[in-house]
Amino acid sequence: MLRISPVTKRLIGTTSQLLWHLPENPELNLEYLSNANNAEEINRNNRARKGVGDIDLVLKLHNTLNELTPRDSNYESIHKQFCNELLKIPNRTHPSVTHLREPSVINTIGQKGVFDFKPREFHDICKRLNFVRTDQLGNVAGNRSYYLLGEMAELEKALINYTVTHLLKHNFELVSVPDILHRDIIEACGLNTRGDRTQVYNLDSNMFGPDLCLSGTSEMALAALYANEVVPERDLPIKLAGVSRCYRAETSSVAEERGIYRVHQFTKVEMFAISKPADSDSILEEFRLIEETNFSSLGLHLQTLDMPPHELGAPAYRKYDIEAWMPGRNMYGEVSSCSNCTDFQSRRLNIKYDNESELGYVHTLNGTACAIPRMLIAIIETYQTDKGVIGIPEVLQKYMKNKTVMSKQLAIPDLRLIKYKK
Amino acid sequence: MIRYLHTITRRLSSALYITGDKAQEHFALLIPYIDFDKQLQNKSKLEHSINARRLNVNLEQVEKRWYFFKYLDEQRITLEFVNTEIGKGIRDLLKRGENADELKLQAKLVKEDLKTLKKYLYGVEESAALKILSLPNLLHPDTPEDKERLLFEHLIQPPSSRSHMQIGEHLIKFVNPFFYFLRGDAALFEYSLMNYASSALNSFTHMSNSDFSRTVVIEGCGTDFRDKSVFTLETRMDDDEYARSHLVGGASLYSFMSYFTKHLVIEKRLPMRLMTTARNYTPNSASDANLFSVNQGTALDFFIALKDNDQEINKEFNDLVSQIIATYKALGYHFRLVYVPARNLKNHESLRVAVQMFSSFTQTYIEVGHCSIIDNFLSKRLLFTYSVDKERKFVKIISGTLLKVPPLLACVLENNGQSNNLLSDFLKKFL
Repeated sequence: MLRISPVTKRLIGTTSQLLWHLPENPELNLEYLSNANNAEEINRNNRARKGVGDIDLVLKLHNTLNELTPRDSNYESIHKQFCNELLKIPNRTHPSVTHLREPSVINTIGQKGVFDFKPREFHDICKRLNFVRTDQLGNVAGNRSYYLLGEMAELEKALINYTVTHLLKHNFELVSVPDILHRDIIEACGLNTRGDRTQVYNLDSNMFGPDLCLSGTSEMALAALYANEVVPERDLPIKLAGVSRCYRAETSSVAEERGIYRVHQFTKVEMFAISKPADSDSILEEFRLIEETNFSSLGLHLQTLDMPPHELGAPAYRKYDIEAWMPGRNMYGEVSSCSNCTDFQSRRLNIKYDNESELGYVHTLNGTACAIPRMLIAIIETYQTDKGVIGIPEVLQKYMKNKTVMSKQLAIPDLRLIKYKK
Repeated sequence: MIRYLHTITRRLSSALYITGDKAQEHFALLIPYIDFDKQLQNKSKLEHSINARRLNVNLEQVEKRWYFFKYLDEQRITLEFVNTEIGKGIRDLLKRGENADELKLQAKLVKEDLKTLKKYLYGVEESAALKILSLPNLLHPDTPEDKERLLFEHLIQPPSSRSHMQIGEHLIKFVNPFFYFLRGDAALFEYSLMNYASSALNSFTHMSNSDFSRTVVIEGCGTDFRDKSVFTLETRMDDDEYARSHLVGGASLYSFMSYFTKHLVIEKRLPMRLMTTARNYTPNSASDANLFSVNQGTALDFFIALKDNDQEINKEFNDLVSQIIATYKALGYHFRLVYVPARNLKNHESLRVAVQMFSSFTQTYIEVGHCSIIDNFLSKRLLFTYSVDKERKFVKIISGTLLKVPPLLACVLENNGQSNNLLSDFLKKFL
């Protein structure tokens, strides 16, 4: 049986005296992946998930390797290729969703609000009330930049504080995370960081070295926090919460994603858990419940979707999306999701548990407790009135000096662009 | 003489000052307002500022360059005038049916001269403008020349202690200055401290800023991104090579200046007092393994925009200093405020008061916040204006950081000497 040596490790860090390693060749489940009997199942899964993996190639390389010895001249290069191909195979899929061709609504909370006027869109409301600035920022801050103004910025903070309080009550440990990460961490979490189409921002490689990227979610840093650790089983599950800025280079010209619906930078409160394999299904349900309770307490109308294989991305085994009703847009918009990644990330990051009789890979889970721009859209559109003010959800009022409504922001004035250059 | 001046090929060296010849290829957002002749009326003050800051700037050379540019520019104006006049002459002659060959020859020579001059002039203009733009702000009378001067002190120095990295061993996971985590009480400390800090500045308007700024703003604020004093992103498909993106964080002067660059505000909206609690990203040259030299931190930054009135800005500054003092007193730790000497000021600062806490391990004072008078130095460069009776005025600015978490947390751990009382009863109220 071929073994991939976990001994070769790479150094992560900008200064060499600080040690931080990720396994170069993660210990993947070779017993399953390189067994020809499973090829059909893996192939079916890969196709259903629109994955980029090629299990036939993996098996072919495996057979070639078995015929060679490490002394052969081409052994190393084939071994490298074999490992790379293995990493492209997506996670398995939860049996309850393998048959799904489209998202399945599994829960609905609240109802669409009734308005006796035509509800306005977020962007329109914000323009009238001076809540957000998005115009004339491309040349000074960057494309799709935005500034939240006055009470809108307070609403952002109120949402973060409300969510964090909620998570602390559920025994999450708050962690303050780095936003600039080594490329390997992001790749280990299942995201490509190179090429023109990557969603990942890179720091200038001439100035800051080739491997620093901006984090797209604190899930990555939280996962990396436990890289190479062996956690005693009695300490599981570990539940972490992070508040961070998220940077995503993705662009969109879809009309539905105008305004601040899809942006390059935003604040997010994230939930992350490390669990025993047997517990990850139930923790995913816990995450979903926390999200649903949190958003419904804000008075939003929601639907929860069980996502089909092709919407899962490589790491997830099962994923729920929660959509909130946005009356101005007259559509449901995704505000949150939660995923069970089983051992996909833990193998790549080398996170194990120890129950005194054996070592095993933990399962990791992540969920969005609150992603700012879309939550603002859902709240502002839901709480709009035709009187030029916006209601503040009751549970958030105590985080906003007990204000009950938000009105036009005058303290930050309308600016006028200076047309001439001098 | 002009015919013998040869043009020099130049590469684009500034995103802030883009001359006419390059503006065809590169988008020029604005042209900084330069009033060097007026600056020279205060030449002694400018010289004093340069010397006290120990800058390696030869003002005489800048002046020479400026006068040379002005001289050439006058030539240009003369030639353009002559060119127009000859043109008129030619038209008159032709109208009368007379021979205009001699004038046409003259016109050709003048046009050639003008073309050569203009090509050369752009280079002279650029080098003069960039030299002028690299000059520092004038100094505020309160800025000390050599040494820090104490402005305020609260409580006495705490006894010596172990390093915060040892004391907070279980609370800080530190891999390198990019990659560190705050856990448990340290994360809750950050969270409650930021909640407290924003409540302390309750008359300020909240903002949630962009974390990215473009090169023109970075340079407008007097920073050269090439020396790695800000983080620069790799260029992407939609980027102009000279309009790079920089990761600065919402809690930064750059981010506030991005908001106001090339904009005009109505006079009656001033003063404007703004604040944000956000990230700040600053490359740190020290590579010590502790919280004093990290590249990322959470901070509360403020930005005050004022009318062009010296008395008003001084009063505002003093009020702000009192607010800062009150904010820190409530935390219950030893701190002091000092005027920072000229040589430690940034070029755009005219006065800087630093808030310092004591590192009981290194036995040194560490800056945990600051407050600076920038006056209208940056408003002129980035065109942040208001108008009074249609006359353009430049907004005066006070900016600073009420507190930044990593060094403050480090000092508190060391002042406490232990890790289990990080969340004081006072801070617990803000959880």
